[in-house]
Amino acid sequence: MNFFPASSASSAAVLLLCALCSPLCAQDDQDLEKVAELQKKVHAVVDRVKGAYVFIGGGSGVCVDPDGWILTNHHVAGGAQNWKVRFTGGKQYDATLVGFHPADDVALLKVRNGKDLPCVELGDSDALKIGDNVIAVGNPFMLGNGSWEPTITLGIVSALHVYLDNPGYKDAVQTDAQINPGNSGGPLIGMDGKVIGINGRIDVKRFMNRVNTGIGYAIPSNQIRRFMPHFKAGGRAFGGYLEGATVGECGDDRYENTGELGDGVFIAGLQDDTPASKAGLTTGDILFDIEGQRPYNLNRFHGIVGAWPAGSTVKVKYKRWDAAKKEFAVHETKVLLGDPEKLRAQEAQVGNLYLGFTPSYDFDDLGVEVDEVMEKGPAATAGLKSGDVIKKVGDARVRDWKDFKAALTGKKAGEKLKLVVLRDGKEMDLTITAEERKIEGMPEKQDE
Amino acid sequence: MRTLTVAVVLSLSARVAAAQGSDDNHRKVYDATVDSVVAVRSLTAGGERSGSGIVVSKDGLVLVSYAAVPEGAKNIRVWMKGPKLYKAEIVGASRRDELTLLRIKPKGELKPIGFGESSRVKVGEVAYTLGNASNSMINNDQPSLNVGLISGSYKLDAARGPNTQYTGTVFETTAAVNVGMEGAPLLDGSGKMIGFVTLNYSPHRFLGNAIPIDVLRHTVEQLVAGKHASQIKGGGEDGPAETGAAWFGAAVVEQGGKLVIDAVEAGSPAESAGLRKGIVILAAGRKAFKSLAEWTAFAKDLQAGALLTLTVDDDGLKDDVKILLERKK
Amino acid sequence: MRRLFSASNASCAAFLLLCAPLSAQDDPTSAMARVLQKVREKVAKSVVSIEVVRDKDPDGRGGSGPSSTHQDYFNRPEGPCTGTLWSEDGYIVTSWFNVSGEVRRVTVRTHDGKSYDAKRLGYDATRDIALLKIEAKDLPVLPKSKLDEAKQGDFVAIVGRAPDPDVPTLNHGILSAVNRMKDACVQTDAELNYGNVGGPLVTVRGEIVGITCQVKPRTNWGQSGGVGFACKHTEIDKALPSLKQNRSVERGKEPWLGVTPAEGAEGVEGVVVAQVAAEGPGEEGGLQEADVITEIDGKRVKTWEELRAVLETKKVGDVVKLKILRKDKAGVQQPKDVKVKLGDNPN
Repeated sequence: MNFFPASSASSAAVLLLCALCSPLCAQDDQDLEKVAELQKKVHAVVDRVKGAYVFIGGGSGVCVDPDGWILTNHHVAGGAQNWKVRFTGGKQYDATLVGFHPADDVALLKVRNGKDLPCVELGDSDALKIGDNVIAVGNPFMLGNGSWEPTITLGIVSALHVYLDNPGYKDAVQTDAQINPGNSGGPLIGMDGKVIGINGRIDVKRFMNRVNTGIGYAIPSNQIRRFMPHFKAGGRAFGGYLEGATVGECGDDRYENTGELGDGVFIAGLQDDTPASKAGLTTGDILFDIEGQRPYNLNRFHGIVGAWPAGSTVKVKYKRWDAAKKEFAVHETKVLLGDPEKLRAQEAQVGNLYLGFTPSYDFDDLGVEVDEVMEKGPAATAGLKSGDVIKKVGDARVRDWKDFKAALTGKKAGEKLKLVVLRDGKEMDLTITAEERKIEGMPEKQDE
Repeated sequence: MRTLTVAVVLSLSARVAAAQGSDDNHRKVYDATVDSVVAVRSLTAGGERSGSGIVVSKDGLVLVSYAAVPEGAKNIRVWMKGPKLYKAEIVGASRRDELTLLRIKPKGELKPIGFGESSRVKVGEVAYTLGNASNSMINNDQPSLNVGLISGSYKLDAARGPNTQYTGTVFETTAAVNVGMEGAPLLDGSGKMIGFVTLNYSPHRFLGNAIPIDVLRHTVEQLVAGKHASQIKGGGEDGPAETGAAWFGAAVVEQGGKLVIDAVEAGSPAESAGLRKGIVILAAGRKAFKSLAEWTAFAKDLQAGALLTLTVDDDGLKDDVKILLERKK
Repeated sequence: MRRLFSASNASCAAFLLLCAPLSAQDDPTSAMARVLQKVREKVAKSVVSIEVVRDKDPDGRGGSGPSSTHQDYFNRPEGPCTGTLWSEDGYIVTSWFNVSGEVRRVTVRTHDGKSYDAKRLGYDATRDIALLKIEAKDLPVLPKSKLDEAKQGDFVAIVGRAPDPDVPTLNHGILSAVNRMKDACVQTDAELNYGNVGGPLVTVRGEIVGITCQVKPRTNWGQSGGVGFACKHTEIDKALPSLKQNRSVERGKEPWLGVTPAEGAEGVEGVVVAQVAAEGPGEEGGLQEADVITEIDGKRVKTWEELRAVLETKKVGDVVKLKILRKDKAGVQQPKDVKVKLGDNPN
């Protein structure tokens, strides 16, 4: 059979036919090309973001603004006010801790007189999908110290909206990119070269060593973006909560008309004159959409509201049972997620007693450090000052907030309490007279 | 000629469309299999255990790891993405193959997982694991997706993972395998299940392992059909059980007040575990042996299939040796 | 034959085209997998499995692990390990760890199943490489990659031959850093473990970047934790003449305090001890976490750099006198004197 027809149109067609029908012989080259394409993408991201990486103490950070705003974990930088940080390559700068959120493990530093510093943008963590490629930049095991070259690892997004306790990651991005001690505070970067998370935790349950087993968690960029104004304003930031309401998971058969598990969360209890009631909610309402996110279980609910700063107003969609029509009607409202001033004040309380100071959030075992002393409160009267460390209440040795609360159980307003306080390296005795708790209807302070 | 042109154009555009996929394959595999993956939790004699599993029938048969739901477990709950929560009952179990079959009562039809053929799997192929890593499904309604390759294949000669039973040939994968993933599917690049994740591991590699689906196929079919030994009245696992008929394979004598191994049978579990003549047996778990009589009484009660941990003295070096007892031949 | 493309032929062709396989999946991950399978096939020919019989194994038992039930993480497992052919006539490079200790016999098995007795020649413990020799010829050797073109983010793979010498293992990842361990090594997130250390780290074209190394029982990483190293092939070639002559380099005796410093916190006049290495010289001398070192042998130090500069003038075995600050039970910083006998840095 003649395979070489006379006409050129036919021969072109034959060639085209061969090219299209012979994938196998071209496969190897095609594969290498595809791999080279992906390789280029990875190189491009690394080149773009490496310069903005920052070495901080035993961990990492990332610069997100040319003026030198640096994001990191609270457990990396929250323990000191001033830091000497180095960018990739080794250039050193002075930086100050400005804002922090201990519960969610985020801290913001500012380079003193920073200008034209290498930086990367915050990306959209809500646009992430399971399977997306991500790159982690960090300093595991301090391998980069000296050369000031960070470590790069590559992986995918394994899960989203992960809620973890202790410390609380509300809405974490889970990744299998290898993250190890020293990566904390460093960026998780999407393939568009933007920061979609700050790495901070790994699961070490398998093999029980402090080495990654393929599960790492990052605080998402969208949560951080919402908190940025609060961080820049300075001091401690608080996460949002639905003030005035107790919620339960849908499908709870102890209540009527709570829908199916996964629909959302329903209002199980409500207090008058609170943000929840002022927003028009009543008991039985099923919240199924909070700013576009479905609170499919309690963890997710706490994750959604906690990923907004206290004081934010969020759009909530809810279903209310219409007994007459025997069906749910859909409503929408706006709800204020807690008041940061109240939260600050609330911490000046222990149970029924008002003490007039807020504790600082050190992970020290020494005692309760006084952060802020309220004007004209029991602490001010007692002569407590910011920076004091309370070590004893009466005869009880107090190492942390838990001990402090325990020491005050059973004490009454008006009772004189002897404190042993450490100030400037010296111990001193002070007496504080607690007052009656002022603010009604506040949820119990959550242990950090 | 016009037909040819049309064909060419169609073919070309199909290829171009496929070439767009960057991470699309990960998402495709996830979307195709996420509704066939479950998380499970049960109350066992040793406390609450959690794990992963797969849907094997439209009407509610679910396969999970024996490590998460052993025989006798109570309060068995199964989660699916939704979240959806079901109560489950044990239909049958194979301890040797690390499998337990459950039944749940779903409202609608479920989507069973598609099985592949593990005999066709090659080292270097794309592989995924999808499951309840660190309780991501139970706590967050998020099946965890991990991607990697089939990185090896070898025989596991000891049960090192928590409550693992299966020793035999496994696939190794670089796709992350973690606590909570026991019973999760190992998927190939097209989303077909080619292995059943076990937390057993090789001390050379410390990577995820999965029991090849071909090894389990017969047992799964028997369990689904109700014909497995565990489901037949009077039948034990894989045929009648022989109690007290464990094969240990080492003769022990008393020498100078110590219990010393005198001889080790070739091919025996003791030999596989590394025991040799001259090694001194000190204890089994917390039970220290003070006389040969104590050891003999203890050895008589050993069950085939049990994992025995002996504390031994090997020429001055104390060690814990794990021995998987076999059935006496 | 003028009408090759008759109507019926055209429809046949059309039918064929439409059915023409998108036979293999086109996505990058599948393409990568196919590339890596080919790499494994090619590279495995140059990867050998090694069996070592020892009299004494001082490196075999780790033990600074936190949990005794997972001792196997820190213990050399029994069975084969991996090495890489370096010359056609049978020079083999492997991780020094693989062949360390009082070795009685080394047997090497090549890809075709042949077994050889191997001689252990020189080793360089600072690079964690060792040289073996078998008597053979025409053995396949891997081409070398251009190291000056290596970049962070490069895709790489590792081929090993353990625990089953007949089924080579394949791990993959990227280059995490190109200059580590004083520029002798690259770093990768492809998993390294007892099984594959000593095997080649290669590019997607099957060229060797280096020999995987630095998996040590006493470190907390390695064993597939995502932080691994490979000694660059240029470094190996530099060391080769010495190794061939059976000359060995012991671990660099670097005077070591056995502490990890915390860097950067201002307002602290001294070096804060972040971690004390278990069973290290610092622990022996009584140093504790959170201690602040203010003086070493009479010299005031404010930064780790200053402290290290003093250490570099000392020798392993020297006893240094440190002045530290330690918080007492009341939380007050108290000065203390601590003597530390400098050890040999194992890292």
